Amino acid sequence: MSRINNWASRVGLVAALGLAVFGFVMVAPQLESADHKDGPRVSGDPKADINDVYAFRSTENSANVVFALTVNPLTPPAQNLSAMFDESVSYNFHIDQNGDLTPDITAAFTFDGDTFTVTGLGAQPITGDVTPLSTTEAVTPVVNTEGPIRIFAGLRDDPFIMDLVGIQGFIANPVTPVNGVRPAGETPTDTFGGTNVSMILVELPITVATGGTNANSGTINAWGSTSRGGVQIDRMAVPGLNVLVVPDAQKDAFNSAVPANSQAQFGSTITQAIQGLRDAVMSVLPAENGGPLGNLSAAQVSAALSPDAVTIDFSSPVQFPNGRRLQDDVVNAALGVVLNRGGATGISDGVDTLDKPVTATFPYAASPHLLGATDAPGTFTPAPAFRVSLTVWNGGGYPLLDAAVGTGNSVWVMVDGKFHGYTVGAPAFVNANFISMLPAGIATRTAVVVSRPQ
Amino acid sequence: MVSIMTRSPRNWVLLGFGTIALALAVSAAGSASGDPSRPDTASTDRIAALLTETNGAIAFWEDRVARDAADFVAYNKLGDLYLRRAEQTGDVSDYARAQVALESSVTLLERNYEGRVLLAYTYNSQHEFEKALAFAEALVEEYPDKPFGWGVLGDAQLALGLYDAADRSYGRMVGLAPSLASFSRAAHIAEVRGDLALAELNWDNALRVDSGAAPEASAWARVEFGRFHFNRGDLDVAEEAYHASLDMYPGNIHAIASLGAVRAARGDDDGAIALYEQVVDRNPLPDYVIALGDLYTRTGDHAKADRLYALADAIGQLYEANGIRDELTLILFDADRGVAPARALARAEQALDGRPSIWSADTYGWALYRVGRLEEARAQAEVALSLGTQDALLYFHAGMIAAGQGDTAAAIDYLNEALRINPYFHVLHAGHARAALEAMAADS
Repeated sequence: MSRINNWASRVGLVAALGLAVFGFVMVAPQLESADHKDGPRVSGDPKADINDVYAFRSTENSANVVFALTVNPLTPPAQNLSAMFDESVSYNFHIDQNGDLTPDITAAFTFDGDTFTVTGLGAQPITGDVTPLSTTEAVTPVVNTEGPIRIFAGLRDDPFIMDLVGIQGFIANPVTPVNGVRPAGETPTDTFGGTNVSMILVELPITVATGGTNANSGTINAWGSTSRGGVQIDRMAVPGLNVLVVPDAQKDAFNSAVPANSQAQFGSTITQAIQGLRDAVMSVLPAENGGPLGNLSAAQVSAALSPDAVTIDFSSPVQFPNGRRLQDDVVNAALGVVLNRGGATGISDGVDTLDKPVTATFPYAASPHLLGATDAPGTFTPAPAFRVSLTVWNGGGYPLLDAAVGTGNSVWVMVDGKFHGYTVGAPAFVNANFISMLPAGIATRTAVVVSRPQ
Repeated sequence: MVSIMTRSPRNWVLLGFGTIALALAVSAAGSASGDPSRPDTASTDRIAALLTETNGAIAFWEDRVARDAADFVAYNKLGDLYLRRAEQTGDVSDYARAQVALESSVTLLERNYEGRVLLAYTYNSQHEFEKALAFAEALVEEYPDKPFGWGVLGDAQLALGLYDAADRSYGRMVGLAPSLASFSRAAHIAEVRGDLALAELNWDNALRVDSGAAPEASAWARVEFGRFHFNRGDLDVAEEAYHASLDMYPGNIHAIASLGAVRAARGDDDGAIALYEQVVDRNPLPDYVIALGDLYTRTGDHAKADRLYALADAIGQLYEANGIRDELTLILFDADRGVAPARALARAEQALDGRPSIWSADTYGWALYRVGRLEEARAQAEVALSLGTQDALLYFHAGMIAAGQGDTAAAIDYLNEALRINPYFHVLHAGHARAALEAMAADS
């Protein structure tokens, strides 16, 4: 029997007791009496977790509609390279043309390395290229064109803005809001500010989407979903719906359901949740006076929202709640509808400005946030200015370190209370001990001393 | 046999290494052909890139909480990232950071499954198993359809010797989410309960569904899989798995040490010593320090062996001084040495009290044997064997105890069983088992 010991008790404690600890240590030694080592952590399924779904009239060609779907929410620039699409997942756009909430068109995207294939947009599958990822360089977005259809797949700044922290806190514990939905002493923050998402964006003629004859008529329902092996993982269209009014115990079931049966399955629980929220905020908000869609009962709101599909009537201006543009501040409207307050404008979470503006040209969503030049791997902050400088290393392996320090110069790191030096370009035996202690190089944000006699 | 060596270059794209992620073509076989303890430049750059990414993400969310102390989203992200960094670097202070971040998150927002499940996981990692158990029990009651909660609950139950409960919890997890995380747990509990076929099946499942999104987890799984086979004497399969692990996470000391064990099993003591020396140099974990000492004993270099044993001794005393009482490796080592049998016994008794399990029973039994309390030792050994766990060392202990009692028939059975399960089960004790069998055969 493999005797497995909890690895923390080994490595961790050895470290705590002042013995040098390096190297990959996830596995516990297993040679004898083993209490079980914890199995791997589970950190969700972000590549299949839909952040938002958008549907708007193209600003380059008013005869076209643009659909977009985002996954990998809350990706900071440091993790841009991990914001990929999952090769085992199908990313799907669904369009219902006749109001029965079953899809008449499904565009299904799958990925394979740096290419994608989409079926359902015409007789033949369409293939194209994913826009390459970078943490530091601006990359020109790849525009994939097939007849009247244009497709983008890659990293973008997340256009979604919301004080998620404030709203979750407000729902959990309603107190009279002072700033946005925050109490006194707190400042509303865009939780999604400075973060990126993986986006699939498709532009196609409105007549293809509606099955109609002109670009200024016809109504569709649209939503997005992800699936793996034919099993649905997530689906989404209405912003904030799952967060605000689907009870915790039902969230997974809701994500596995489809619009056609959602009202039957979840309508009454959502009605109760909406009413519960309205009751909870009675003492902390001004009286109900109707939301952006009018003075609606909880049941009416539930009926409208529970299918979790976005409706677009092309004879009216296409903007939330009639579709959803990238720049629409949907949270305020959603809050207002659910809480039945705020009239035409809704209640505000206090966060109203996009961190990066959207553009008028394809692919419309702003380019992703990157690591600042002063934070990028391979640099020091602050830049070493003297013969001997105390500074902070921004990470990276030996090639980057060599380039940053310069031949003949040295960098010193403290390990276990002692300085250890590394000299660029020195004979191997000089640096052998340093390299064996730090085989992957100096860790990010380590304080170092740089000595530059050269 | 599941193929664990084949990873097409395209799969590396999924892991996102390099500045333009799609332009990489990494040789997956680099470390397999060279010295496993000295990964090539491309491999160490990959590790550096992983760590740089983790640290960069941590910096982002730390800035957030500095500006907004109510940001539970950031605290959850930090908890997950600190745990990840601890796995990548071995820095135990990240456990404390994870605990603080997640406790903050959970205090800020109660309806917070992500924060709570990660906090329970952190408690397990810190050996606070009773705390983890209580936490996880409440969690699965509120969120019965979330798989990871069941996994963490099972981890706590297993650590506390509640084997049937752990089996049920892991079963719930697999049922809700077939994944590396769930199948590897199911494989482990099957192994503990002596069901090798089921363990093998679950290991195959685990490796098959592994998405490779977390290279350190994939590398860990290959080492565990390899050890499962090593413990049954399947050296070739084990070796292949360890090389696969190094492909995924180059330079990882557990794969290197495990390769050392394979060399020792093949009789290449010098080769084994070379690998263990690299490992112990970087990270003097007790198991590896002791194994290296045992190898020097086997090759006759007693001076070096004694230095290593002294180091293991010192580590043991440090642990005790710091209140770490359940380190069974060191207690067994103490009993084996025979320098202070009464002390070893006291430590074993304390470990058993603190955390009853088949392994603490086995350790206690061995310590009793070393002070001559054979009948009690035998009873403990039989408790250790009661699940049918196919662990050669348990059978070896039982056999030596029986021999001490003069129960030759049982001794022969137990010792033969140990060698049947794994002829290479211990650098020194495998030889002791053979010697004892020969002696008993000569007497008869």
